[in-house]
Amino acid sequence: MENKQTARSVELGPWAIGREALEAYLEAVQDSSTIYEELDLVPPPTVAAFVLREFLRNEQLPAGTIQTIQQLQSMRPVRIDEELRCDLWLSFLPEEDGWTPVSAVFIVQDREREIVLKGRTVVLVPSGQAP
Amino acid sequence: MTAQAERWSLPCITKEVTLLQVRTFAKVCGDPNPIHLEPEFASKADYSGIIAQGMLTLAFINEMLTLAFGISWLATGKLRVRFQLPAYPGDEVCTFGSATNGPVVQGYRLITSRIGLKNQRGDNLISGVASVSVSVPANQ
Repeated sequence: MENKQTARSVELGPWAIGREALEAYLEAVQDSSTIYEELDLVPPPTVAAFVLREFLRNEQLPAGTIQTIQQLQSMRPVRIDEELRCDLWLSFLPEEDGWTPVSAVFIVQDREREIVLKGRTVVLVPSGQAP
Repeated sequence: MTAQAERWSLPCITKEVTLLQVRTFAKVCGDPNPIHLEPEFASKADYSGIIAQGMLTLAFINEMLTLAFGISWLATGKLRVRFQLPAYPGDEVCTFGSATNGPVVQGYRLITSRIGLKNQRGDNLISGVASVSVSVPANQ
């Protein structure tokens, strides 16, 4: 059960995933699919990875944090260079076996505040080090 | 609505996880966590070496789903996965997926797949479920 007393919301962005950033990402993950370039689109996990990047910058999660769950739901494709922003709700769950689970539920919106992607990430933070 | 569910396997994407890849991904995604970068830190955290980022290994599953479903995955995809075990540099990993046709509703078929990633020893590193809505021509 979530501990409501340790929940909070965070606004991230705006940011955009440009062609150069997408190419660097695809090179890192060795994905040579041409569909992204052909359709000018960003894969959903790339958007989530950049949400996590913004999240890490914002929250400064401690060394040793590991990811355990990822959920994603695309509402429509995300275009390269599209301006995105994200609302994220953090919940710090009860400590278990030396770890504090942190759940981050997020919605990614476009410039018009239409939702383009929804998701949830759960990470385990070494106990006593949760931000 | 279909009378019987139809199942098929999704394409297997095989990758070798490399140290360079883990470092490059950390740089691209702005993840300074030493568990992905410093062997000494990783060993103190009870790993046998640095571990690959979960989102890096999830990208292999994304590649499988994009190959299988194309724009439908990018536009309507939904997934839920659990990272069960870490991937290490030097591991050879392979995606797997088993798709099942669901009913056609208002011209779209919901396809649900059990998905995952295994290493060369057959250990499940990731497991979960993905679904997409695929447009179905009117005469089908």
